Amino acid sequence: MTLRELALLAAIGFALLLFLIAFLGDRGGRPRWLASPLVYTLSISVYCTSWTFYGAVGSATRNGLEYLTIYLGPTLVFVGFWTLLRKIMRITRRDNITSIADFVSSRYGKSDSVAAIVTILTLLAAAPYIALQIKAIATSFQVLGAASEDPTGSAAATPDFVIAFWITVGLALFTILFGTRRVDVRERHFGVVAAIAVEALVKLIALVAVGLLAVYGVADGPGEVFARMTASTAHSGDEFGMRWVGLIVLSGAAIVCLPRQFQVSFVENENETHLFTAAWLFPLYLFVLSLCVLPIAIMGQTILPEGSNPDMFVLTMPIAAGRTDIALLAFLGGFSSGTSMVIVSCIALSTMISNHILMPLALRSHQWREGSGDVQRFLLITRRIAICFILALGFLYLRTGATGAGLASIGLIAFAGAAQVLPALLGALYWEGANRRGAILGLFSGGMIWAYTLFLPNLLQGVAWWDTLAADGPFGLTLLRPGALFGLETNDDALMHALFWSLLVNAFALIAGSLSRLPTPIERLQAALFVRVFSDRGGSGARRGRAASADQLFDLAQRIMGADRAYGIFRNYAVSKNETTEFPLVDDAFIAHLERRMAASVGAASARAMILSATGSETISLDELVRIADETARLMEYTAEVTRKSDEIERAAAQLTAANERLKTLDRQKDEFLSHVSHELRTPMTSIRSFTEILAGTPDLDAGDRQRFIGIINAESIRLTALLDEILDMAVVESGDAERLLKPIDPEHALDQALDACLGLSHTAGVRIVAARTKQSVHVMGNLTRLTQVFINIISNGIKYDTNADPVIRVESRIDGADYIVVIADNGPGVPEAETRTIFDKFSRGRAGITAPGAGLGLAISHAIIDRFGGTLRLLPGTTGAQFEIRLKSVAIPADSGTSTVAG
Amino acid sequence: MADDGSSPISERQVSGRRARDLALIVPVLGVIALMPPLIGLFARPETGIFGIPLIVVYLFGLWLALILIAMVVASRLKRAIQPDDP
Repeated sequence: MTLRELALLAAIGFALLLFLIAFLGDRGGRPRWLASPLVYTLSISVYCTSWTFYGAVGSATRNGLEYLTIYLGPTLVFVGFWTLLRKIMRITRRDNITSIADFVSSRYGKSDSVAAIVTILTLLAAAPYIALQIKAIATSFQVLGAASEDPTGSAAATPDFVIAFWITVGLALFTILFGTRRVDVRERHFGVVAAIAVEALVKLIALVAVGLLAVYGVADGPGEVFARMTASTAHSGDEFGMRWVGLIVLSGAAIVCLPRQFQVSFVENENETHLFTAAWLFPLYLFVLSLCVLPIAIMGQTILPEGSNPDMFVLTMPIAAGRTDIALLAFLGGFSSGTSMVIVSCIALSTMISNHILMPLALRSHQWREGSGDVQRFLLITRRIAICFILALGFLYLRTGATGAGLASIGLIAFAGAAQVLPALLGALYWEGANRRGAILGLFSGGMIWAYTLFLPNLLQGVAWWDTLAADGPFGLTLLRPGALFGLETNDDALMHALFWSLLVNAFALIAGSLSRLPTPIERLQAALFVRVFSDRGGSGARRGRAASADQLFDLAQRIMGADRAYGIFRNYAVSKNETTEFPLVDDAFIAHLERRMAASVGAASARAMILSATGSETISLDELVRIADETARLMEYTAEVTRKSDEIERAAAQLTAANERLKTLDRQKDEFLSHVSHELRTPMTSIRSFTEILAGTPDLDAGDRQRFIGIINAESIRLTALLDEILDMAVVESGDAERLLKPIDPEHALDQALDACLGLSHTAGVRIVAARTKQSVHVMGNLTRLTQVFINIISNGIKYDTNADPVIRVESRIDGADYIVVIADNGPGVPEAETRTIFDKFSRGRAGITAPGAGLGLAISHAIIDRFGGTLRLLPGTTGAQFEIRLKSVAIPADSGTSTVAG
Repeated sequence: MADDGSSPISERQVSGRRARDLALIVPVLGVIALMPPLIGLFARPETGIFGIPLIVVYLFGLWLALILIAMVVASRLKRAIQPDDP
């Protein structure tokens, strides 16, 4: 049996063992041995790929201690786990984050576009990395096979694509089998974790074995190794320059940002406290591996012929030392390194592709909205397709031959790609002001520069048009050459050049973009939830306008998680809340709970979109909502109050002004009236007094004069009485006592009496009275005497004020529907415009400038009387002369009362 | 225990706070020690300890020290976080 056949057999046997372990790990849900911090730490060791296993020796041979940077960066990050890793861990577990893309997009307002950019970026970076692993495994086969003829291992410069193809197929099979069994990522990959933990152990044992062989089998102990080291690898202070710093930063970023590292460190984590163990155990793992690399590199250079491929020292050195058993173990170690990386990467990337690229597309498609799609099936199928796609991409990358460079340099390209997520990640964790625009700009610009200065130059090396571009710059712009952007020369160190520009522009774009606009409420909410994850227990989400029933949500959930799991979630929640119904009450807490559970399957952005479409509502932090509502309410209340108060004041002021005007008018009217009344009273009183004095003083007055004087005194007394009657009348009408009993009366009869009473007066004044009377019999509610008084008042008023040369008073009565109307018009000068409003007022003298006897109470009394009768007395507007209209409601004549009412 | 004026809980809290401070400062010290110019002091090919180049001793020694400190700090923090654990 040749070494090659043996290796093939060992590989197949080992693969079968992995399948068995994965199967056992997956069975029965949660095996206890899997939930240990040791397994967790070993699974993180997926960081050490075949690049570490084979490539670190190569790197140590070529560049001395520089290879340590790749392990020192993660060491620093893990030793400082309290600051960074614990925070990411807490958020990831709390929100059921499924990937690095999900994490970043969650923070930036659950944005689809952020997630998609991260996914595409990491996918691009992963393709060469996966190609590298396949290449390393295929090459290790060839090296073992050809070891007897070619101990240098350089025969395998071009990988055997047949082997590479079958390796790829095997990896796809394993990943699909154990990586896409169910959908919920959080409870998902026990089998895979178990397998990669075993692989991590194999890696460690194999490399330690080879290292021990180098020290004690090949050399005579550590002394000889170090003696040779000083001779072979020269150390000067030069290697601890910019590149040293840059690589430590880069590897530190990669341990967090690489999709597979995020997957094993945070997503697959069972218990937060496992991190406390991994904090020192994982650096220790790296320490041991790195320690073993050094003697292998040194002794490989010593015993292997000149021109040997240092990337294969791990395999060729044991063979050269005659230990095929250790070579076989080393082969399995390399196999483990490669496969574990590919498997975890594929799982992480396929989750990202299906959650952040395919799912959002499907969500927008018409079919899903119709509600017919089975999301669970959709996710599983898309993830399987994505796994095949990623592996095919890796294989194709391998075929292009772009992996010709050393293992380490290709790995670093992937690192630099993943590191573009770092600014957005740090902004997500420590800067509340970072928002979606900044994240998108940063990721996009950083990714573009990385692709232009590092990824494409590697991929397109040797392609004619690219080489021209690389040499002269695009369109002859030498300033934009991908190897020396803006003229920055870095001694052909493309990695440092790319890293500097991409991270600088990335971070700047993140800051500038974030500062360019205010964060939206959802961004502010997520920022607070991320940045203050420890201090703030996280505001509970409150939804407005909830419109989904438990049944609708269940329908949604079962399409994503399957009926059994969805039912379990609903029932458990209902039981935990002590609800008696089958399904829990749909409140905000339950929707938030469900959204998080769904996020574990489809990512935060998609889960949110689905919940939103089901509930038709918007999520916003309760605190935020209350704060906004408070502010708004306070502001609105204040504004409304100010408006109301100013309105009130304005109205009150207008009322006051009107009241004041009225008071002034009334005061003036009262003064006028009083002066008039005093004058009216004084005149007869004066004459009465003077005539009584004459009568008393001159006893010898002749009878004729005495009689005349007594007559005058009598007349004046009558005038005084009339005046006082008038004032009394006013008071009586005002108090309303006289009109308490209203009876049906004939108004025409009242008019007759009035016209008769005025006949004498009009005759004396030379005024003609023209009457046009209705023929119909009519009755109104009222008091005959009072109504007569009103008619007399108005007619005599007309007679008094008509100054026309040919004065005529027209009296007209008619029936208008249910109304009895009397119009009394004169052809005098009319009522001045200013007095039309006050003419019926109590103290109004009316028609100022015209002196007439009477206290000026007539119209006021008339108006009050008609008012009591339920009718109206008004001055018709716009007429020549004064026209008064009296309007009374006519009533049916009671059958029994007959004409007797006439006398009423 | 009553007469020394401090309960075991407050002692543990103090210890937890010190561990937290240490957890913050150790990685920073690690970064400083691994970066130039400090590391340049040890990059002297001619100097060695028992035949091992100084820089190798320094790097791996520092690394091991970081691991040991992280181990102590992590176990203290774990105790501070989970006081009920035995």
